[in-house]
Amino acid sequence: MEDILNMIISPLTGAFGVILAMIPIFVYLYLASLGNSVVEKSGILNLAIDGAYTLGVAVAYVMLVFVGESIRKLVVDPPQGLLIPTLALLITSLLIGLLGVLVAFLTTKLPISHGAIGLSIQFVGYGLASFLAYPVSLKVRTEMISLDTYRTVPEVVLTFLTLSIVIGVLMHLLIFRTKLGAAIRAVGENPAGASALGINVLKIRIVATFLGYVLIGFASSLSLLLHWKNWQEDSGMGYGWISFAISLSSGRHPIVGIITSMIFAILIRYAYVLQDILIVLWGISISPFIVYALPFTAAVFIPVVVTAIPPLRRRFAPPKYLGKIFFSEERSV
Amino acid sequence: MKTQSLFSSKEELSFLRPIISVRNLWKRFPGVEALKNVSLDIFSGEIHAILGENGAGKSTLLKILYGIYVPDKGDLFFEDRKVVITSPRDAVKNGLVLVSQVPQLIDSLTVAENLSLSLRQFGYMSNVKKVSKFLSEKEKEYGVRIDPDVEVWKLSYTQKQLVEILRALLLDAKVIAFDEATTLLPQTEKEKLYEFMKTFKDKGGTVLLVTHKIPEAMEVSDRVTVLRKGEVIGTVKTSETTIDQIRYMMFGERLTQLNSYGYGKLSSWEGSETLTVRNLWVKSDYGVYAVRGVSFSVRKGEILGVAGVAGNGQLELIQALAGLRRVERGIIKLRINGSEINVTNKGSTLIRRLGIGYIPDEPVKKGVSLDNTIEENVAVHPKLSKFLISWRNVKSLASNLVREFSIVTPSTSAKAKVLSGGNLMKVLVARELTVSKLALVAYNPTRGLDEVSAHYVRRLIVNKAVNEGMCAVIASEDLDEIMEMSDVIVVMNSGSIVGVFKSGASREEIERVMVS
Repeated sequence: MEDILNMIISPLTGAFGVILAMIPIFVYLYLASLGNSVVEKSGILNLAIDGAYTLGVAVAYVMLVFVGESIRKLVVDPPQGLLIPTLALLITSLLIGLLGVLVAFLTTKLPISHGAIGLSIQFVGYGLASFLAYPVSLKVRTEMISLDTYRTVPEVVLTFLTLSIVIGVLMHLLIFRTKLGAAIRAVGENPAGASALGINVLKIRIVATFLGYVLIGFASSLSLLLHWKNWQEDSGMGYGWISFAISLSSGRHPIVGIITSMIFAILIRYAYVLQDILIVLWGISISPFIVYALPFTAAVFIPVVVTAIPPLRRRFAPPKYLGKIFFSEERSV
Repeated sequence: MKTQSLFSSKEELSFLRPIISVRNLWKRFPGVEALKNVSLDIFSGEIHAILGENGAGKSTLLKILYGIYVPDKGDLFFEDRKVVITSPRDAVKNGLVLVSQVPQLIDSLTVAENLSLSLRQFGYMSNVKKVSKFLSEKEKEYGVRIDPDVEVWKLSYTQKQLVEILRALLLDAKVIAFDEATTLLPQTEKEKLYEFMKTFKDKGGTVLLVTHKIPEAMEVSDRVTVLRKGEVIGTVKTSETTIDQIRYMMFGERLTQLNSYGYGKLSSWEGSETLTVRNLWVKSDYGVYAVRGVSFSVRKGEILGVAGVAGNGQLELIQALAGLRRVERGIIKLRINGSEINVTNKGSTLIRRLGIGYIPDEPVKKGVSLDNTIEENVAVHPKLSKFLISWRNVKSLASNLVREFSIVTPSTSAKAKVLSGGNLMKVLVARELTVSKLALVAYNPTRGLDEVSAHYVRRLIVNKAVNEGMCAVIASEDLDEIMEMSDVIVVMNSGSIVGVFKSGASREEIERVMVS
C-alpha cells in the first residue's frame, strides 16, 4: 500500500519533491494575490483581474516567441536559460501594469460602476489574449519553434520562491510602514477624507494599481514560463479569480497571504492525488470534473469561512470604499 | 506669543487688509441656486462668523473656498492674489485649513498616518515612525497630548477635533475654518475651543467660523456675515449688533414662527407602559458590551431623554430599540392595544410596521438614500408601502410632508442629494413622525438643524406625544435638547444608567452624573 501511495504522491522522490512541485504554483498565485491586494486596498474593486491574468499569460507567450526570435537574429549563439524568459517576464509585467493604470483612471475619473468597468476589461482581456496568442501558437507549431522557458530545477524554483517572499515582505512594509501605504489605505477607506487631507486620489490609485497590475503581470507570466511552459486557448483563465479569492481570504494582508496561497497551491497541485488516494484507501471514486472544480470551490468556501468568524471578519474587513464610485463634484451634505 | 493688548492696537490696521476675498460667486446644483452673487471679505487677524439657517449656502461657500466644489462664476482672492482653488491641496497651499463637523480623518489609520498625508516635508516613501516621532515633539510644543500611534477610531470625538486642529497648526495655517465644528462638543470642550480660537487670533491667525448657532457667533466672533437663501444679507461688527438683529437677518419673516412655537402642556396620558426594556445587554461594533443591563419603561405620551457624553452606549441602545442591533441579553416589550408583544431581536421591519419611528444618528448615511427622490425615500418605509407601491398616495403624502415641514426642494421627485443638510433632516423627521403611531426612537433628532427648524421638530415630537400619546426615547448629545423635551431624563455612563431625573432637574446635577 505504501509503495502505491509513494508512487501516486510524486514522480519525484520524497518530501522535497512534493514541495518543489508545488512551489511554482504558490509563487504565481501569491504574487497575483499580492497584486490584487494592493489594488483593492486603494478602493478599486478588481473585477478585471481574471482578464488581466489571462492576457498576461498570452502576452508572456507572445513576448517569449518574439524576444527569442529577435535575439536569435541579433546573436548567433544566444545565451540559453534566463535572458529570454526574463525579458518576456519584465515586458509583460510592464504592459499589464499599464492596463492597471487604465483601470484606475476609468474607475476613479468617471462615475461608472467598478463592476461594469472591471467586467468589461475582463472580457476584453479574454478576447485580446486569444487574438494575440493564437496566431503565434500556430506559428510555433508549424515552424517547430522551441520555447525558452525557465527550467523547473531547484535553483530556479527556489530563487523565485525567495523573490516572491521578499516582494511580499516589501509590500507589507510599503503598505503598513510608509506614507505611500497610508495614502493607499486612506483612498480605499475614505477617498473624500483623503482628498481633504491633501491626497490626490487619482494619482495614488494609479500608483497602487500600476504596482498591483505589474505583480499580476509578473505572476501570470511566471505561470507560463515556470509551470505550463506552453500556451493554449484559455490558458490562465480562472487563475485570476483564484488569486482574487486568496487575497480576499487573507484580508488583503501580504503576510497572511503566504498561508492562504500555500493552501490553494496544495489544492491545485494535489487535488488529483486526493482522487487517487480516495480510490486506493477507501475505494471511493470521485469525478475528475469535481476534482477540477475543487480549487474554485475553495475560492468561494474559504473567504466565506474567514468572513464568518467575527474576529477575523473585523481584521480582514474590506476597505470601506471598495467598489464605490468616488465622484468629488457631486453635491453631498 | 503676542499679548491681547498688542493685538488690539493693531486691530484696526489689520482689518484693512483682506486675507480672503470672495467676489460675485455663483453656484448652482440641480434645481437649487446654492449661492447667488456672493461677495465677502475676511480680514487678517479676525474671527469672522458666517451665520445662516439650513440651506443658506454656508457649507457650499466653505466647500468652494476649500476646493471641494468649483464655483460656476465668480472670483476668489487670497491675500490680494486671484486664485483658482480646485482641491483642498490648493486651499492648504494658500493657507486655509478646514476643521469640519465630521472630522475628515481616516478611521482605520493611526494619527501619525493621517497627519503624514498632509505634511509635505515627508515624502511618500517616508517611514511613518519618523512622522510619529516628529508629532510627539510638536505635540509637546503645542501642549497637546494624543498618542500618534493610536488608530483614529479609538479616539473620542473631541480628540479627533484636536487632531484636525493640530493638523492646521502643523500646516502653518493662516486661516482656520471651522465648519459647524462645535455642534457636537460638550460645553466644557466648546469653551476650550473658543479659547483656542482667541489665542490663534492673538498670534496673528484668522478664524472663519461657519455656524448656525447665534450665541456661539456672538461669543467669539469679531464680525458676522449672514447668508440667507444663497445671498449675503449683510456683514456686521459683533460688538455693534444684537442677537435679535442677527436673528432677523437670518430668518427674516420666518422669525415670527419661532416666537409662536411653544411646547404645549406636557403629557397627561394615563395608562401602562408602552415600551419596556429589561436588563438589556448590547455589544458595540467592536464586540464589547456597550449597553450593560439597562432597564426602563416609557408610558404612553411620555418622552424619555437619554443623556450622556457621546460614546457611552446611547447609540447602541437606540439601535437595539429600532431592531438594528442584536440584543445579547434582556428583553424589549411593546404594549399594543392592551397586549404585550416581545420584540427583542425581531428585526427592524416588524418593529417599524408596528408603528415605531426611528431617526438614526447619521441621517445622511443611515436615514435617507441620497440618490433616490423624496417620494422614493417615503415609499421605501415598510409602514408606508407593502408589496406594491401606490405612487399616487406616496406622491400626495410626500407633497403634504414638504408643505407641512416647509422642506425647500424643487419638487417631491427631486433626488435627496440636491437638498441641503437641514432639509434632508426634515424629510427624515417628517417621514418618521408620520409612521410613529406608537413610539419614536431617535438619536440627535435635530442635529444640524438651524434654530427655527430644530425648535419646530422638537415641538412636533412633543405635540405628537401630548396629543396622540406617542411615547419617545430620545438620545441626544445636546443636553439642552434633552432638558427641553423630556418628561424623564436618564443619564448613561459606560453603558449603564447612572442617574434618573424628572423634568426640571438642575443642569449641573445632570452634567455631574454624565462625567463622573
